[in-house]
Amino acid sequence: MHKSIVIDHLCRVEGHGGITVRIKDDKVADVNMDIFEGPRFFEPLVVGKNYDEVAPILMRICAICSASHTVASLMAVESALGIKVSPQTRLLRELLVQGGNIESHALHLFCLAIPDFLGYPSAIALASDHLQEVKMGLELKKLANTIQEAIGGRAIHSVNAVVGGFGRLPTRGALLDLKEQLKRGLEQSLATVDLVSGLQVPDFCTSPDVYVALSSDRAGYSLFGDKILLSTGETKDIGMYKEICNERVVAHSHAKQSLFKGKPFAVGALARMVLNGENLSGQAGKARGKLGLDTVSGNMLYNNAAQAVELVYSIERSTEIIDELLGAGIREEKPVEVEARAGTGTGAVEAPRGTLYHSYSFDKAGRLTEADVITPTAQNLANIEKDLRSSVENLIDQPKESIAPKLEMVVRAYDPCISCAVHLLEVNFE
Amino acid sequence: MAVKVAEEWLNICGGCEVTILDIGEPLLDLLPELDFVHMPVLMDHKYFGQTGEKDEMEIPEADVGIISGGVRNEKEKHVAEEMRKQCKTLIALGSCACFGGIPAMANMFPLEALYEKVFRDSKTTDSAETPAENLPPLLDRVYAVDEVVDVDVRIPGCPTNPDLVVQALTALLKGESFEIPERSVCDECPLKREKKTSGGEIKRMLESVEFDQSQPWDQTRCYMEQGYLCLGPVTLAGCGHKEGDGEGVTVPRCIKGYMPCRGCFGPIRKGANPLVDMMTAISSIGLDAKQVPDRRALLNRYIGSHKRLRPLPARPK
Repeated sequence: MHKSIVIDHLCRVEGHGGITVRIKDDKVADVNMDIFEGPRFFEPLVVGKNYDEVAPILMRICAICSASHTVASLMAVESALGIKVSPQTRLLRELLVQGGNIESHALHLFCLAIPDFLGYPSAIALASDHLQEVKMGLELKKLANTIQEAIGGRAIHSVNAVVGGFGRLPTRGALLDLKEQLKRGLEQSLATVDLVSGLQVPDFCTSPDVYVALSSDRAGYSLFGDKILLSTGETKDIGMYKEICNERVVAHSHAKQSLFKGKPFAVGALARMVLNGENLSGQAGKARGKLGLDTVSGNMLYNNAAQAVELVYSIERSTEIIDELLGAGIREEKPVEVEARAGTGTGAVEAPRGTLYHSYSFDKAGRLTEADVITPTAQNLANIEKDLRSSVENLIDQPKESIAPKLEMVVRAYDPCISCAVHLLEVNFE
Repeated sequence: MAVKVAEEWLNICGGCEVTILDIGEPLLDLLPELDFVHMPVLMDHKYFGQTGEKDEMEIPEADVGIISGGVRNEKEKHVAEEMRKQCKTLIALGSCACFGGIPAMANMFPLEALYEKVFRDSKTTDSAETPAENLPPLLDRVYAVDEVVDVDVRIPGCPTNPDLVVQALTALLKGESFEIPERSVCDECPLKREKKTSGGEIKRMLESVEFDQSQPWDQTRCYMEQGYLCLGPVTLAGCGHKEGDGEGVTVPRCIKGYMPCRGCFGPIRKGANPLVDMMTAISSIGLDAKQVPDRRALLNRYIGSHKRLRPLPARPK
C-alpha cells in the first residue's frame, strides 16, 4: 500500500504549487496543497501611495484576472472616498470584467483543462490532432483582448479605467465593431459547449460543498453584487467579508487559507451556477441545462462545464451592454472629481475564479494606510484539500501513477491562480 | 530540425505567458518549427521526473530558453541556474525578468518589515508565525534574472509585446541575434510636440489628457507638454503595434489608450538612470520637477532590481 503521494510541481496551473498526501494504515492521514510560489508582498507595496496609484499596482497581482482586480480595486477606493460613478461608468466596467471572464475561461478550458479530459499532456499536443478547437480557443481569447483593449486601453493591465470613471471612452464605431465580433464569438462559445458536453466527467471527487458567490445586483445573472450569498442560506454584506474569509496561515503554504465557521467553501463558476444559475436566460440558460448544471452534484470537475456556460453568458451579456450603451448614446464624461478624505471601503466582484475582495483604508490626504486583498484561489485552497482527500479515499486501491494525474485534474478544475493567491504570502501554523 | 524551446516562470503574474498566447495565429504558424521541451504553464513536464522519482532537478536541453519573472526565492534561483546550464540562448522576458518589475518595489523595505506587515498584522489573518515548512527560503530582495545568471536577450515590458516575441523567435530560428534598438518611447511616438508647456503645474493622471479620437495622432498634443508626467523620454521603445496591418503609424501602447507612458519597458540603455534623466526632461520643458510625488518609487516602479530601489537608512532625528 502507498505511504504517500507527492506531486512536486503542478503543471498547467497558474503559478507554483504541489500536492502532498500522507497515507497511514490504508487511510488518508494528511493532504496538503503546498504553495511554494514566492510571495510578492503586494499589500505593503501600496501603503503610503495616493488613491489613484493603487489600482495600477494591484491589477498586476494577476494578468489573467487583471480586469477584475482593476475594477474591484477602483470600487474599493471609491467606496472609501465616498465617490459615486455614473451608470455609464458602471456599464463600461462590467464590459471590461466580462471581457476578462471570456479570456480567462477560454484560456483555462482550451489550454489547461480540456487536454486532461481528452488525454493529452498539453495544448500543444492537443493542437496537433485538434487544431480547429485550439484555434477556436485562441480566437475567443482574441475577442476578449479586443473588448479589454476597447474599454481598458490595453489588452492586459488596462490604463483607462481610473478612479471616478474612464480616461477615454470607446467610440460608437468601436462598440459597433465589437458587437459584430461578438456574434462570431457567440457561435464559438456554443461550439465550446458542444465540445464540453461530449466530455466524460469522472465522479471520483464528489463530496458535499458549501458554495459562496455574490448575489446578483439586478434581475438575471451577474458578476456584481453587494451581498454575499452562501449555499447554507446565509447572506452577508460585502463589508462583512472578513466573517467569511477568515484567513489562517498554514505552514505548508505561502498562501493563506479561508474558512467559514471552521469549514472550507468553494467559490468560482460552479458556485455561481449553483447559487445564481436559475437566473440565466438566452443561450446561456439553455447551455446550463445541456451541461447538466441545473442539479447540484458536489463534483468540482463540473467547474469546467460551468466555465463553458459562462463563456456563452459573458458574450451574450457583453452584447446586451453594448446595446444599452449605444441606445443611450455615449456621454462624453470625464472621471468624477475626487476630494481626498479619510475612509475605509470594500469592493467585490465575481472574478473568473470566484469572489474577489479588495478593501482599503485611506488617511485624510488620500494616502493608503491599509490594504487587504482576498483572492478566489486563497478562498478555495482549503476546499481543494478537502476534495483531494475525498478523491484519494475513493481511489486508494489504484496504483500511484494513476492517482497522481487525477489529483492534478481536481486541482486544475478549480482553475487555481497560485500567483494571485500568493500576492502577499500568508501562512499559519496550527 | 525544429528548435527546442524551454520556458520557465518565476515571480510572476502570468502576463508574459499570456502575451506568448496573444501572438495568436502567427504562433500556430511558428509551432512546427518549435519543439517545446519544457513549459510548466502549458505542459505536464515536471522537475524531478513525472512521478517525482528523481533527486536532481531536470530541465531538458534546449536551443532557446525563456524566463519570465524575477527571482524572489532559492527555488527560483535554482530554476534560473538550471535553465542557464541547459539553454544555449537565454531570453529574459518581461520587465520582472529584466528589471525585477512591480514586485521589486518591495526592495524599498527590509524583508523582515514585509513579513511583519503581511503575515502578522494582516486584518483578515489570525496572527501567525512566518510559514516555513517545505517552503524555499526567500532571498533578501527581488533580483532580475541577469543578476543571478548571464542573459543573452532582454525583451522587457509589463507585460511584454507579442510582436517582439515573434521577432525574437524568428531571428533566433534563422540563427541571428536579437536586440531591441536603443530608442525612447518619444522617438517612436507620433504625438505633436511644440517643445514647451503652458504652465509649471504637473497634473494628476486622473484629470485626463485633452484629445479628440476623430483626429489623427499627429494632431494630438504631447501629453507631457499638456502637463502630465509621461515617462516616454526615459523609457525604451518597443511596446507599440503598427496600426493598419503594418502600413500605419506605430503608437506606443499607453499613448494609444490616451494615457501617459508609465515606463514599463524600463531604461533605454543599460546603466541609464531614469530618475535623474526624467527630472532633467521635466525641467527642460518648463515643468516643476519638485512636484513629482513619491518620485523614487514612481520613476523606478518597474525597475527596482540592480539596487535601483533599496531600503533608505532611517532619517536622523
